[in-house]
Amino acid sequence: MSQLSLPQRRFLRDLFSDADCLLTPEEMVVFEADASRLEGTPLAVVRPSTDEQIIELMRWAHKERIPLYPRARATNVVGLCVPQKPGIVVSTLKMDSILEVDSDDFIARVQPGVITGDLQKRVEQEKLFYPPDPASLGISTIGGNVATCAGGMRALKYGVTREWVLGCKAILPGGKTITCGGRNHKNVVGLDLLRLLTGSEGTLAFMTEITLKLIPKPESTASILAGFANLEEALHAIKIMFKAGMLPAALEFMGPEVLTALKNAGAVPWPDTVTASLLLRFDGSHQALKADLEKAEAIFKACNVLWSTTGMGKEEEEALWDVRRSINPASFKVAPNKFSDDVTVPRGRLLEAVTGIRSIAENHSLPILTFGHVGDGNIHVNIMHDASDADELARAKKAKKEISDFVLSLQGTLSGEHGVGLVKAPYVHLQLSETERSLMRQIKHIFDPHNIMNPGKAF
Amino acid sequence: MTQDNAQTSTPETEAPAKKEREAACILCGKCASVCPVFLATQKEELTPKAKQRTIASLKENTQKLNVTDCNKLAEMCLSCGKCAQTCPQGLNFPRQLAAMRSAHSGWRQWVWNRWVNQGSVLWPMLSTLSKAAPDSKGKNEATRFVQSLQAMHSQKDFPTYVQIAHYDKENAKGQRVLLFSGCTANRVQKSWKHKSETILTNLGYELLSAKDFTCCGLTLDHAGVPDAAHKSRMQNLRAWRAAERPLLVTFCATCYLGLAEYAHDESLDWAEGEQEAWTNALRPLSTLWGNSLFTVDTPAHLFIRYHQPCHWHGKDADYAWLKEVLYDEISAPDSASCCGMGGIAQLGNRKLTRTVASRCWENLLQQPPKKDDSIPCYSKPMGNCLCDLYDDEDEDSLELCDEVVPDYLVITGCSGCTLQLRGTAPVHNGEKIKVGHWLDIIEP
Ligand SMILES: Cc1cc2nc3c(=O)[nH]c(=O)nc-3n(C[C@H](O)[C@H](O)[C@H](O)COP(=O)(O)OP(=O)(O)OC[C@H]3O[C@@H](n4cnc5c(N)ncnc54)[C@H](O)[C@@H]3O)c2cc1C
Ligand code: SF4
Ligand code: SF4
Ligand code: SF4
Repeated sequence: MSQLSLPQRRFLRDLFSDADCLLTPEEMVVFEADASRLEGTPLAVVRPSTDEQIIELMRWAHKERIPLYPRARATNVVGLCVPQKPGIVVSTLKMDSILEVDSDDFIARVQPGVITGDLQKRVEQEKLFYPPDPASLGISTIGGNVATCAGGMRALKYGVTREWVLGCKAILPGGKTITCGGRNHKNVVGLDLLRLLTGSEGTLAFMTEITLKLIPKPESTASILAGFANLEEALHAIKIMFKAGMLPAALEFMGPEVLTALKNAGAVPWPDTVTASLLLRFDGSHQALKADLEKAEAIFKACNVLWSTTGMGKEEEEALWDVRRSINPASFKVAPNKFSDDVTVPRGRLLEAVTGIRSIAENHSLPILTFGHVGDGNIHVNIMHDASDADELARAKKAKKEISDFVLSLQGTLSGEHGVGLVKAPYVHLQLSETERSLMRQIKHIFDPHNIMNPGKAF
Repeated sequence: MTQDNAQTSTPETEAPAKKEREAACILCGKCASVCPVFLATQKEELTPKAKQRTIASLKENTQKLNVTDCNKLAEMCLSCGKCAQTCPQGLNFPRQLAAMRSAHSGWRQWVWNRWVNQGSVLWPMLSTLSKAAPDSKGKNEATRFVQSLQAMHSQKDFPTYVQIAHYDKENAKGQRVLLFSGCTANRVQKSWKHKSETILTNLGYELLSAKDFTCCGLTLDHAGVPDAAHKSRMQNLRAWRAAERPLLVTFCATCYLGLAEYAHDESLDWAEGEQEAWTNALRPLSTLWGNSLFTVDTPAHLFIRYHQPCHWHGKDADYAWLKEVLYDEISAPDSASCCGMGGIAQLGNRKLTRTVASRCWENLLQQPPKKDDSIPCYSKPMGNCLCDLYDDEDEDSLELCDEVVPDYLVITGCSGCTLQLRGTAPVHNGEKIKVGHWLDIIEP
């Protein structure tokens, strides 16, 4: 199908107001792509604001066999919102209400289009806390975060989005509504459909309401940024710290190539001798934090730290974390294109993984940036290249495949947080057996017999 | 990539030279979260990201898109500059838009007509534009409009809650200053200029005559009339030179931004080191107080809400100072939202500027969040709540609080924002909410 028929267009126009039903190519340009920069063909874009509209849409699309692509802020980097098979893009951005924050039940109930950072600010007013913090928290939505099971820096201590979803309401292709979980913090009745939907990348159902778990907000935070002479010493310092019984809320690592990229993109605070750096954040009471920082500094000192700086409380910490935030923009100064992978390995095999990835980079003479949430074994690997150079592109592809194989040989996973989408679909068979994948396809078939929900993605 | 690759040699004939990296949109979506037009509409097709993608698509394939419709989408911009501040690729949509506009034949006539007929909040700048007007209508017409604007907007009965108990003259040391008041203050709201002059003199500065200054040129630039903008800039630069490069003080965020941008404008005839001197000379008025002392007297149940002008780009010296003086008496919405002033957008898209303004008002009229360690108050109004008086009474005294309806006063630090907010202010407690520049609440 390359165009909607007249009756189909009429149906959409009747169901949605003019402002929320886009049919011209000019208006739809941005809906062709997402942050993966892959492209597809939207036949129409609609913006529901009620459950009823979605039910009607799902009933109709099921009958007409038209692909639907749920789309929030389109910040996913694996092509999840790309209408690769022509279809209708369904924007969740008008469903952006925080329905309730209940400080007795410790839950928040939200519509899918709520921006994660906005929800955090809102619950923090009540001294509550929603910990998942993807770096994109200010620009991505709860719906997107749940559908991709987004992880963030605080995953080390608090886990990923999955751990914080208590319930959801979702609409199935055909128009039936299901309710999974609820507002209970414990719930073992039936198979766990909620976990199935979490991380399903929009391939099973359309979520219209999500209930999240909250906890009391920690009093404050403190951070330390430290530079080491080499990778081994940095990662050794982490080991010692864990052994000493410390569990930071976040622990970020930046490898040698990243530090060079940062330096080329602007001034960096550490001396040139530093080639690997760690960034940690603790949370808790003021007294505990002071003690934590002292202990961490002492441990780093014993591990030959070359340079370090600390910050107590949000304002002081900002400058430290700005460094981490500038990696992505800095990376594009290295080369115009990148394959970005967020492989994860068991925590104990981190050094092995980073060293191995760097030697693959060397073999293919490509700049490969490694950084990430090392505390939980999640390494972001950016394979930088110039796609307009055929040879370089071929080498980048080869390196990507080698890295995948290598990570799996360490009992790792192909994606810790970004998901599969279009970008990793060709590699999934490396990690999942045919039996497992066939089981997943059958589950998808039960939810979505005509394969209209985000087809061609995930598995 | 959107660049045309016509000149690039084939890899076989030449080793691939590292190409100059063209800044291209990477679709990261960061700009969406700051663009007031998107935030007020939730329409992704109006994000700066969409506009960048449209520009790129047009360059690649003009067949695919209808240029007129693309222009319509592109015009949905308020020139607030927030996207440019956020974009990791350094893309600056308002600048691209201005370039597109100035390249468009017939644009100047359009601007002039619209400006005269619809652009009331822009009228103060009209007399400058009139010099570059496409026909011989000109100055007289401009003056007439400015007069009607004066009638519409001057607010005389503004309460002055802040008195100055002591002027700190330590910093001034008799330095010479030029006050850049900007078009709005010069033509519509002379009291701002007079108050600023008094403040500067009392702080011990030597005030020079600023009569040679004209519009900073920023709005003209965004409007796509670069030659008029350039002329204005040159005139201001000369005036500063003629005064032997003294301090240059403004009390308007937009004027400040407009002047700050001079230093990056290579088409001005800068002398060696002069750009740096210009940047160093430029000061927001609110940074000159030193250790001056103030007395504050605000009524109970008044929320003074601060509107953050976009053009400070997050570094708002005014609010930092106001916080010091007014402490908890003043608060700002959680996330700064644009007032919709939008410069040139006032001419083409009034509806858009109104939509954005209503969102801004929604945020302004929210009640400020509870203070961190205050005892929770179970009623809506904050600040001087009657609960305090009835603390020991029983339950139903709490209901008294619900009866207290707060008053709002909105202040800001930008001439354009003040006019736009005055023009769009909603009625509250039976009265239009008062809006002023912070100078309005000061008795120097
Ligand atoms: C600068 C930057 C930093 C990032 N950092 C991180 C990070 O630290 N950690 C991380 O995990 N990710 C990160 N990401 C990736 C991305 O932000 C996450 O994947 C995020 O969860 C996507 O949210 P979104 O709102 O943009 O959703 P979208 O990208 O719009 O959609 C993502 C998926 O969710 C589905 N979906 C959305 N709403 C619904 C719904 N209501 N029902 C069913 N399906 C739905 C879509 O179909 C799609 O499959 C980053 C991206 C960028 C650009
Ligand atoms: S200048 Fe402001 S209104 Fe215009 S696109 Fe950028 S953020 Fe949006
Ligand atoms: S912030 Fe810049 S790079 Fe990112 S989507 Fe917006 S315009 Fe594109
Ligand atoms: S910024 Fe100031 S000087 Fe420039 S046009 Fe606006 S009011 Fe005039």
